[in-house]
Amino acid sequence: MTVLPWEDMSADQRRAKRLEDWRNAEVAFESPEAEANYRMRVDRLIAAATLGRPDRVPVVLSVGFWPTQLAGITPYESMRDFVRAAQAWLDFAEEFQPDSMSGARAYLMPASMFEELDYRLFSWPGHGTRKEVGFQYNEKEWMPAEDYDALIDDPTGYLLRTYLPRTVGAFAGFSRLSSFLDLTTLGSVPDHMAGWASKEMIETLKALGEAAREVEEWTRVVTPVVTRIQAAGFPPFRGGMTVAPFDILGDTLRGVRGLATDMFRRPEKVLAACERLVPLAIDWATKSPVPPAAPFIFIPLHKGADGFMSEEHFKTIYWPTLRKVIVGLIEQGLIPLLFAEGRYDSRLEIIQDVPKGATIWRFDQTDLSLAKSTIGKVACISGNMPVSLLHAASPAEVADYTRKMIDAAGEGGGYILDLGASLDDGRPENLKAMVETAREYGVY
Amino acid sequence: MVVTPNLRGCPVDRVEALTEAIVEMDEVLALRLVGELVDAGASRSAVLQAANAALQTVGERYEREEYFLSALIVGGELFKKVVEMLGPETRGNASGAIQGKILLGTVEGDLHDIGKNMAATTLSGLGFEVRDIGVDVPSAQFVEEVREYEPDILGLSGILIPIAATAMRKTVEAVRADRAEGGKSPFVIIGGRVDQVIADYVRSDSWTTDAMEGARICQRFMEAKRA
Repeated sequence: MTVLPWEDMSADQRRAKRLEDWRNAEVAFESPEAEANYRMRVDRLIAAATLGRPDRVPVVLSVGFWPTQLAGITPYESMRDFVRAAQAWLDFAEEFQPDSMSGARAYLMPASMFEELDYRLFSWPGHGTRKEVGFQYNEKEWMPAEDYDALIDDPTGYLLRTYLPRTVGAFAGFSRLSSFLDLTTLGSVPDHMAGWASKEMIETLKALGEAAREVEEWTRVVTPVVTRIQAAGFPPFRGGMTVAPFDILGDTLRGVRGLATDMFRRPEKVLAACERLVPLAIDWATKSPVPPAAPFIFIPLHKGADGFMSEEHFKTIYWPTLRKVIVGLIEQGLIPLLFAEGRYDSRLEIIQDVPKGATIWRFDQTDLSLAKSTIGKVACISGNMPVSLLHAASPAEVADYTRKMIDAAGEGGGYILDLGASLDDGRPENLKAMVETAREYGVY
Repeated sequence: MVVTPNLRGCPVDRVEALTEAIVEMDEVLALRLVGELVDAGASRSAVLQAANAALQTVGERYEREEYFLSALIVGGELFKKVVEMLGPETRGNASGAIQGKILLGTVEGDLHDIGKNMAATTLSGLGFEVRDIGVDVPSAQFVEEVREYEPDILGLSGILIPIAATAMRKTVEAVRADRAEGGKSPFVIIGGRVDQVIADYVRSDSWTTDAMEGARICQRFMEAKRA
């Protein structure tokens, strides 16, 4: 069989190729059994993701700091004692035997790198939050309303020269840089380079170099341990991420209050900015420096949830540009893994307008039966064990709820069991009850 | 129910226009009208009452799903700006009758405050006296504040499960234990990423995921208490 060059492939062919590469990943498995388990799990996940019927309902555990908490390692220690923390993730996988789980790396990130960067958008354990608590976003109007035109005219230039110096202290020097077009004409080069000689820029280059060294050392230490999770037969699930254009604006640029106001005061700017951010959102996921370990692109959805905006606003402001991002990723053979936080009951009809069998929708508090009868016709659905049950209920109650979820969403396949939201700690016996129920009750 | 503003000494049409401007989220017009009303000698409490009426209408539209969270936020922000324009003397309740006293805070370990702030604004708009003691509040501080402020209602906010749930439970236990010795324990409502399971765990009297619904629960509690 001749293999088409990537540029000539259709979206379906590209997706098939990416799934096949994921299945046949070059991994030094620790045993033939681990290798067989890896492929069995990948096949199970592929079947569900593409609306087929696997042997049983797959289980993904999208946990937060739980694996390390369970091993007595605080989130603070997780970001500093990587090898011990990474081992806890491997132990967690061995203990609960999920078909996949959150990427360990996201919860072992080096605190020293964030410190070097003077990173202000989030607080992390020991830096703004307590040592036993995970990350928390620092809600603020990081981009004032007056900056809309600058963002729309040149998003990357705006991010580099205005937004990053404000949100990531190490980038302060970039605020003084002149146009990069200076570098295209001989006579302007010295003027441009003078910007790189400023005191702030010298500091910037030093800090970025330090942060890069920290992350390089971290990668060297963490990669071998994290790779062992895969070698033990547990496939990675998320291959990258991006964010809906409206959420890029709402989450970390304008903030909740800023964007809520904009929807009434300057809706035309919101729309223009969302449109402008579409190619950047696609690029975010497709131009990752590391090739995706799995073809699923995680997209957390925030401000489009029920209650935040009217159906009309969702249809006209939120959804059109998110849909363009989804379609753009599908064109590249990627499978958007959309995580609808909060409730999405009133959006289910609208979001059905996506290519069939090419997206996964993970839900938080959405009614799964309703999801199955709407978006579930064209997409794999996933979720949504309430974290409150894992934290405070009994194993029997969790098992009972798991059966209800499988009854509501499992019929015919196209369903992946997962947590409704990320959880940093809980009762391990409850998690075990959930996984075991899926293994027994979720057989097709 | 829309409260009719006390119109004594005010240009009536402009008071009504102010209510409407806030309801329609027209900030420029609303703030201009406030300035004009103050200049024309309108009583400050009448202006505030018009703003209260607007916020109530916004809340009702929210409950009827004609307005959404974004409008509740914008309406609340606008209400706050009106109060700021009027100056400190009119802070509190327009009609003078306080509906009830509520102590609000996000529990220890949790820094989330958007929901809590919305609850504070909504409750103020409904005539409650609100003391908001911020985020990451340890249980011991809640105990101290309850002792000193003696609220009718204690509102605990939190998103991070299980950290917030554990902190809420600890706070409720500590406040009740302390009050058992000294005074009446306040009605406890929790808000944020909570449900009946978390409420049972925390042993709160009520729970909500919605600022407006939470404010209604507080109103009903106060009505029952007064009856």
